[in-house]
Formats: sequence, C-alpha cells, structure tokens
Amino acid sequence: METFTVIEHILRNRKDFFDEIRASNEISSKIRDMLISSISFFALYGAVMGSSNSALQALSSAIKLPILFLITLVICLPTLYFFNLLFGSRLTLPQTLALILTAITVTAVLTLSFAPISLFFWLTAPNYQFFKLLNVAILTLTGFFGLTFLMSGMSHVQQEDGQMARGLILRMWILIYGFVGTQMAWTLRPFLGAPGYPFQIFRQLGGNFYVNVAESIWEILTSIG
Amino acid sequence: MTQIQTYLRELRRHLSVDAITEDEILREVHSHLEESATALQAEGFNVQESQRLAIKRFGDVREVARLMRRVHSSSVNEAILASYLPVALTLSFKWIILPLLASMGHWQGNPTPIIFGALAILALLVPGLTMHRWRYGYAAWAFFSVIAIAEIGT
Repeated sequence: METFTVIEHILRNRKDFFDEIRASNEISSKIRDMLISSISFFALYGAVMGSSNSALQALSSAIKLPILFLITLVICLPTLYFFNLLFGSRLTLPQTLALILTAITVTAVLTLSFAPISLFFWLTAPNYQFFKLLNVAILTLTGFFGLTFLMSGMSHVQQEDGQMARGLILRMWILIYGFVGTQMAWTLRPFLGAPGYPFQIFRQLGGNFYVNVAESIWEILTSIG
Repeated sequence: MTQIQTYLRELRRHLSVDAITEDEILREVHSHLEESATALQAEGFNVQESQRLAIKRFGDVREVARLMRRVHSSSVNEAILASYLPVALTLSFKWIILPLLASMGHWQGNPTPIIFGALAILALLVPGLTMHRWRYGYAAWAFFSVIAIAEIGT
C-alpha cells in the first residue's frame, strides 16, 4: 500500500509534488509508484470493461487498457520533450516523463473511482451500445481531468522564459496525444467485446473510432425513437 | 514566530494528509520538539540554540514529511480499496467461483461443492479480515455479488 501514497501526495498537495519533480527529488521512485498505481487501476477497469463479453475478454482488456495508456505515452513523450527543449525548457527526460505520468495516474485513479459505477450499469442494464458509450464518456472525462493536471504541472515546473510558446506547444501536444490515444484504442480493440461475438484479442484493422462512436449514439437514439 | 512554529508551518506545507491526521501529526511533533528543547535548555543551551538543535535532531522537514506520509496516508488508500476490492471480488466471484461451483453441480450428494464454496467465500473475506478499516466495503461487494448471482438466474 506504500506505493499508493503517491496518489495522496498528487491529489492533496500537487504544488509540493510538482516542486519535488522540479528538484528531481526521488524522481525514479515517483515514476515507479505512479507506474504501478496506474497499471493496477487501469487493469481493474479494463477487466470491468471486458466483462461485458467473457472472462477471457475481461483478462485481455485488463492487460490491454494499461498498455493503451503506456504505449501512447511512449509514442508521444519525445515530441513533448524535444519541442519543449526547442523553446528553452530546462526539464530533463525523466522530469517530463514524471509530469506526463502524473496526468496518467490522475486519470487512472479517477477511472478506478468509476469502476463500481460501470460495473453497476453492466450488471443491471447490460446494453452493449450504452455500456460502450458510458465507458467512452468515463475515459474522456477522466482523461480531461488528468490532462488539466499536466497543464498545471508544466506551468508550475517551468517558470523560465518562453512559457507562452511552451503553453501553446503543450495544448497542441494534448491534441496529438488525444488523437494517438484514440487511434491506439481503435487498434487494440476490442476492449468490450460485442455480445454474441467470439473472444478476440485483436480485431482486423479498418474503420475509425469516431465513426464507431457516432454509430453507437445513432443506434441508441433510434432505439429510443 | 519561534523556530519550532516555523518548522511546523513548513511541515504542514509538505504533509499531504487529511486534516484530522495533519492536526494529530503536528500536535505530536510540536510536543516532541518542545520536550526536546526543554531538555536541552536544562543542559545549559539558550532558548534559540535549544530549538535549533531540537529541530536539527528531529530531521529535515521534507524527509520527515515524506516519512509521515508513508505512515499516515490511510484515507486515500481506504478510498482506493473501497473502489478496487468490491469490483475485483465481484469479478472473481462472477468469472471464477460461480462457474466453478456450476461445474460441480453434477456432484449432487457430495459435500465437495459446499466445502469449495465455503473455502472460496473465506478466501474472499481475507481482505476484510486483514484490513480492518475496509470492512464497510463488504456491503458494496455483497450488493454486486447478489446482482451477479441474480443475473445468472435470468
């Protein structure tokens, strides 16, 4: 349980946490604790998502959801680091990693807090399209709050010249991160597994995340009408 | 403001624990530092010097705050467990224990399924038996498990 003290530190005293990142104070243990926390929280939420199909899908989603967030991080980290360097940032790569992991950890703990709600809806109203949209909404909401943490962390940690340019870069990076994340989610699907379909680790490539969400909304709306 | 008060103010800034725990820690550290400074004064140090030495012996404020966080950060841990355990236990119940019990259905008249069920429930009770302050989470787990069983019946 000692690993989870990092959560309390981030949520209760983010200023102090960001100060410690700026001072590179125990940064490797912070990164380790945040990784363990976010992997275990996303794994549980992934298991809830996959439960709409089968035990195997639950297990597969428990592995794939943490991978989704971590691979997106690995893909997007160099972009943020080098563009920040270009505009005068003095952050090191581990500091940049720690800041992004802070956002992911906040997203993970908020997502975990929604796990009982998601489970409740799956057990009491097992409608696939509704469950899919519910999970998209939960992950969008928690991702948004996680990224606001990243913005406040970046502006707190980097107080040198060029803050305006770096702020703009961060906003653009968040957009890129969102697009990479959704494409990665689409590539690693299924996370839920449509009812009646056999278990699959991955589906064939093709289609698009946004079109699929729009189709789900349309299906729910037409079923109401 | 005395050196001890300055130290306590700085400690409060780095603690990151809930308000009740924060008050308890600060009260405890305050009385420890005061006692230590008083003992040093009895040895012949003046007020300023005794407080400085007492603080120095107690430790760097960031390090003390870090250690206190490790020992006292239970409220967020409890909240994490309250979300984590009912869901994890319900999923284990739904996907592992109930199917295993169902597969033993043909052993009618044999006590094995009952023994297995009792052992499984006992295993699921372990988190609550070992983490005393989490016991309220069983209400959530029981609720989800009942729905999971009801879902199988429909």
